[in-house]
Order: sequence, then structure tokens, then C-alpha cells
Amino acid sequence: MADVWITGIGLVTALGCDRETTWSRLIRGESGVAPLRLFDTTGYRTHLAAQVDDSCLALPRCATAALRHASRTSRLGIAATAEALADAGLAGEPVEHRPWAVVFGGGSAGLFEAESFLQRRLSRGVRTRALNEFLEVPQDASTDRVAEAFSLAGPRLTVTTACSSSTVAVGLAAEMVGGGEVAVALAGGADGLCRLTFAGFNSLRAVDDAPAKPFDRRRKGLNLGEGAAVLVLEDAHHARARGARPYARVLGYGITADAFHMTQPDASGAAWERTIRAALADAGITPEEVDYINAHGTATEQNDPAEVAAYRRVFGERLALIPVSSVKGALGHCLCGAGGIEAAITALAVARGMVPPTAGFAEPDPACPVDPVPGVGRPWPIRVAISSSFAFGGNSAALVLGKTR
Amino acid sequence: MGAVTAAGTGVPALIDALGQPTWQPELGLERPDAPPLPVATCRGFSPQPHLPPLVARRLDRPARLLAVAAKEALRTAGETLPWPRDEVGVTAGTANAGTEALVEVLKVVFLASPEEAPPMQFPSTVANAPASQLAILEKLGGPNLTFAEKQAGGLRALVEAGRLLTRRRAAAVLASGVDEAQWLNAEAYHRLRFSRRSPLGRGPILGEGAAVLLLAPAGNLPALARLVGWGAAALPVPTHLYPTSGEALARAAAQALQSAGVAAADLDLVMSVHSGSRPLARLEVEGLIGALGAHRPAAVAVTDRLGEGAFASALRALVAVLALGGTPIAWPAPAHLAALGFPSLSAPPRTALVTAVAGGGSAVAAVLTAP
Repeated sequence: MADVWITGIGLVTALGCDRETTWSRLIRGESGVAPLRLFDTTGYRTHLAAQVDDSCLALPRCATAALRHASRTSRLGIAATAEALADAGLAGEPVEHRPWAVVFGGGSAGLFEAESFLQRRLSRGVRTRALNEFLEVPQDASTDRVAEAFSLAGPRLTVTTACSSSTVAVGLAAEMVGGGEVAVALAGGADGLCRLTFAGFNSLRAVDDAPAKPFDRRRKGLNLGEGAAVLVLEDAHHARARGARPYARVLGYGITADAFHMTQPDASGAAWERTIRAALADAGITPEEVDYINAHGTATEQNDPAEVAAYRRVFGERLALIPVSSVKGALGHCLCGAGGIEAAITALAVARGMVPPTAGFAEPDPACPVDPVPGVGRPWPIRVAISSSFAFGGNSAALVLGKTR
Repeated sequence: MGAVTAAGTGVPALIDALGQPTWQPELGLERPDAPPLPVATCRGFSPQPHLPPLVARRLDRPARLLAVAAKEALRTAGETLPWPRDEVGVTAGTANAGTEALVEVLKVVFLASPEEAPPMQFPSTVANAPASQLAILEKLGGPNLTFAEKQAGGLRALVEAGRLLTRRRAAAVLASGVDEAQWLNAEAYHRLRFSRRSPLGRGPILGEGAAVLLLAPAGNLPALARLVGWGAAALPVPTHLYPTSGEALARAAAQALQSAGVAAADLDLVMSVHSGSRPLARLEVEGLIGALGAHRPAAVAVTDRLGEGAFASALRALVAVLALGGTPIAWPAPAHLAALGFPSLSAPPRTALVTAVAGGGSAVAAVLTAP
């Protein structure tokens, strides 16, 4: 397998319309969680979310045709892709059918817009107008939109494994680059807020009506979020030949199924232990070499202790020496986009020797004995980092990223 | 292998239909407030006796379809699987799993109150629910991946299963496609004029079903066929449209043949993407000529009868495996390929090309050979 570099990163989150704004605010310990403005939350238990500012979706430099009827989620993905390509120095490449792969995690796609259509359809019947609002319901619609906007003609995959979708996407894309199928792959994903997920997580009582507090003993649940991340993955030879600079290397990834329950984790941590061990084995890394863990850290009552239990099974007593932080307190849980966003943050952490804090954390929980990096970011040399995602349905995945030599 | 289709539950029912030249499904999907739509549904499908009632009750329709097809596929591996269950994975392609659950949850949100959204139904709104439920049901702890690539999803699941095995991420994989017949999807499909000219023969129809192939490295079980190569490419077009050119299909097919080490001239069978869509037929002609040149292997179409969807591309792979094993297929080559000299299948093939093209422009191809 060839060396796979991350040579470009695009990020659109509730903390900012771009990578550097997101990173700097994240490191300062700020949170993007605020009252939701996207739709009326009357009748919902909670009213908070990490919503991206509408100004991030304007996309003045994109061709109008690619944006016609584009959903909110697609616009998030297009914005992140534009930034990632510019960051990698690939934005100026010839645009006629670029042979690069695009591998995204997909979830709600155009559901926010489709909900409006469905609401009218239920009352007005078969002749309901504006069918275009329904066209981006397929989970791969945003992947298609990005491919259309940037004329991408290589293999196109959309992984839909709920909250681990874009983590798997980064892993698969790295495998395609490392195996020589493509020289460049755009990997990550986008997910937008919508009524379905807001109502669904409310109904599961998995949301906190205050800002989320991962690993904190007062935690009551997550805040939903939205956003997009795109990582440019590149064969190291290809990148070197054009003078590109890497943020980090993708060393490997692991994917397993919990085979346990659709929404509940295996409290023993055994299922997620297999995921982490599979990722480390794929990367050829021992637990002793891991310097930082970017946790799934949803702040739900059951998820956080199960996750810590898995890490304890893998890292033993050494876990106390490894910073384990969750960005979901700051960025919300961006569902199918979360893993890509967290992979991007992890790559920045590796490149800059700085671990992001866990926003919202203040009071330790004996059930979650980790160092969650309270307050602000911490300078920390990182050779190897893990980014974990544990999804609905037990679709678990972890990435291993490393510093480039 | 295992299947639930408009032809019935189980591979034998499919084989029976494939043996009848004039077989056609009964079409029809009810809508709450409008006339039925022409969809090839799995009429009469019941999870009993395949699933215990308590298990079936917690699964939605696509999860039931997949579970029943997977049970049939697993039976071929015997009472005890020859691999640890933690190393058996699942890949699934779906175009619409979760839509019915989604509509039901949103109905409550819009017509009653968000607070009354049903928590039991919400987990079924995620497209990975059928594959995840299958893993829970069969205790399969290997990689569990669901792919959304519209009509190409099922074939994508097959080739990604091949990748998982090649990279030794799993000891065996249930590769599958699954779709449910759902009125809102079918209505959108109809309003976009895809199925406006149905019934059969004059336009495409949506389908419903599940197709499952059990993939494993050679050795543990007698092989029905071998997956020897695959390829993928795309053209950037709007998400609900087919490309106007067959270039991506040609590239995907050529890559698949090259990675399989099979010359175009050695190909015996092409599983046609034909669904009744004229734009798709045009691009298939261009794509196949681009990949195969003057060679004209036998062509078989099943999607125009059993219905379009992500499951359909997995089903084409399953039918290719049947053909490679000597199952007679009496359905003739589609007219647009027959006109170019692609004959109907008359003898068991040794090598087959299976392709898929998705709205939005993605194309996937795989090469299968007889064991």
C-alpha cells in the first residue's frame, strides 16, 4: 500500500465557514451550540443545535448550474470541497472530468427541503408542486452535487452507516488511493439539520436541553449539529511531485459491527474494542504508540462510559496519559458528517501539535476516567492519533492518522 | 445466494420465472390518496416461516426482505458457518431503505406533534438499518457497510465486499441489495416521467426485493462463481438524471475486464442494465461498444421485468451466478442490444460482465467467472 497523505482540508461548521475559523474558535474552547433558527422548534423538547450560519452557504464562486435547487446539505459539501481543493493547491487543475474519486458519508442529504414537500403532500395530495424539493432525498445526492460542481469523473461512493458514515468514507478513500486505484480522492461528508433527526433524537430522549457535556458527570445527551468536512487524500508520490505539503498520513482504519442493538452500545466496551484493535492492526501500530484520541463522545448517558470502557480495554492504565477529547460539545453531533469533521480536526491536531478541548466538560465522571482536555486546546506532540465513530446500528469505525516523516 | 423478488421468496422461485419466456410480474403499489402505481412488489411476501414472529415484529419491511434472503444465502454455508461470526461482514446497497419509516415519523411530527414522534420507528429511518438488523439477528460482527448509489448500490455492495475480502478485513461477506416498494418514492419516480409509459415493455418500473450473495475466499465451500475483477467511474450530471453518454460505463467495464485479466473477446454474457428507459438503453449501447468493441456476447435483462432499484443491480449479479452455474434463462436479449447482434443466452457461459449505472452518473462493473 502506498503512503496516503492528507494534503487539503475544508471545514464548514457551526464555529465557522472555513477551516481556520473553526479551528481557532475550537481551540479557544468556544461552542457553536445556540438556539436553532432553521425551523420552528415549538413542540420539541429541546431548542438548541449547532447550526451553520447561512452566510457559509452563499458560495459566490460556484457555477450557478451546480447550485440550482441544491439542498442545504449539498451546499455545505460544495463549500467544504471548494476550500479543500484550494488548500491542496488543486483548485486550478483542469476542470474537464477530473479523474479523482469522491467518497462521502451521506445521511440526511436533501431531507430538510423534502420535509417541506412532504408536509404539503400530506395535505394537498398528488398534485403537490415543487417536486424538485424531493430530488435530493437519496443519501448520495450531495455526493452527486459535489461531483457535478467540481466535474469529478472518478469512482464515486456514498457510505451510509449513520454516524460513522464519513469516517468509513475516509478509510475507504485512503484504501483506494493506497491501492493505486486513484491518485487523489476527496473524502468526508456533509450532513444538515432537519426536523426528522431533531424529532427522532428528541423521541429517544438522547438530547440535552442545555449545551452537551461529553464525559461530564452531569451529561444528559447530545446537541445535534450540521456541517461538512472534505479531506484531500493523495498518493504521497503524487503529492511530493507537485510540492504539496501534508497535514498527516492515513495509516489505517478499522470497521466492525457491534451486532448488539440498533441504538444501545455494548456497555462492556468489548464491541468497540474490536473496532479500535482492527484499526491499529490495519495501521501496523501498537497501543503504546497512540498519543491522542478524538473520541466519538456524544455526551449521552450510556455512550460515553461504553466508549471509555473500550479504550481501557485497549490501552489499559496508559489511557490516563492519553488526551481523549470530543469536539461534539462545540460542533454538535453532525451525524453522517461527524466522522469527516472529526478526522479533519484530528489531522489538524496532528499537524499542529495541539489537541482540541472538550467544550462543556467541567465535572469528571468516575464512569469516564479519561483526560478530556477541559477548557482550551493543549499543545501536545502527536505522532499517532485515533478518530473514532460509533453509530446507530452498531456500525463502528476508527481511523488512525499519523505525522508525516 | 438468496433472493426475495416479485417472482417470489427464494432463489427457486426466481429460477422458475427465469425459465418462462413470457413471465411478467403483477404490478401495483397502493397510495393513500391516489390510484396505484406500476411497481413490481414482492406481493405475498411474508417473513414467516423464515423469521420468528417476535423477531419479524421489530424489523421493518426492507430489514425483513434482507433477513429472509440472507438466511437463504447462509443456508448454503451449512448449519455452522466455517468462519467466526465476528469475521463475517455485510455489505448492502439500497436506494430507499428507511423511507417508509421516515414518512411515518414525519407524519406524526407534522400532523400530531414532534413530541409524539415514535422512538421505536426512528432507528429504522437510517438506510443502514437492514444491514445492521441482519448483523444483530445473525450475530455477524465483521464490517457492516451500506452504500447509497441509487440503481448501482447493489453492485457497489458486491464489489466493496470483494475489496473487504481482498484486504482481509473479513473472512466472508454477505453482499446484498435491498429496496422496499414505497409509495412516495414511486410517486416521485412516476412524476419524473420515468415510469409514465409503463406497463411493461414501454417504460421502466420500480421494483422491490433483496438479493444476497455470500462471498468468501476460495477454499471453505464449493464455489458457485468467482468475482474476479471490478471497476467504477462516473460522469458529473444532475443527481436524478442518467448521463447522456456511455463513457463512464465503458470505463468501468474496461477497468473491470482489465482487473479480471479477461479479454473482451472472452466474455460470454452481459447482464444488461435495461430497465425500459430509453436514455439508459442508449448509453448502454455506447458503453458496451466502448468496452467490448465488435464482440457480441449473449445479453440478459432482468431489471425491466423485476423492477429497478439498488437491489436490481445485486440481482443482476445473482442471475449471472445462476447462469454461470448452468441455470437456463429463457428471457431474451433486450431489443436494443439484440438489434446490434447481442444474442439471447443459449448455453451456459463461463464469463459474465455485470454492470450498473446510477442517476447522477456513477457506473460500476464486475466480472464473474464460472468456478
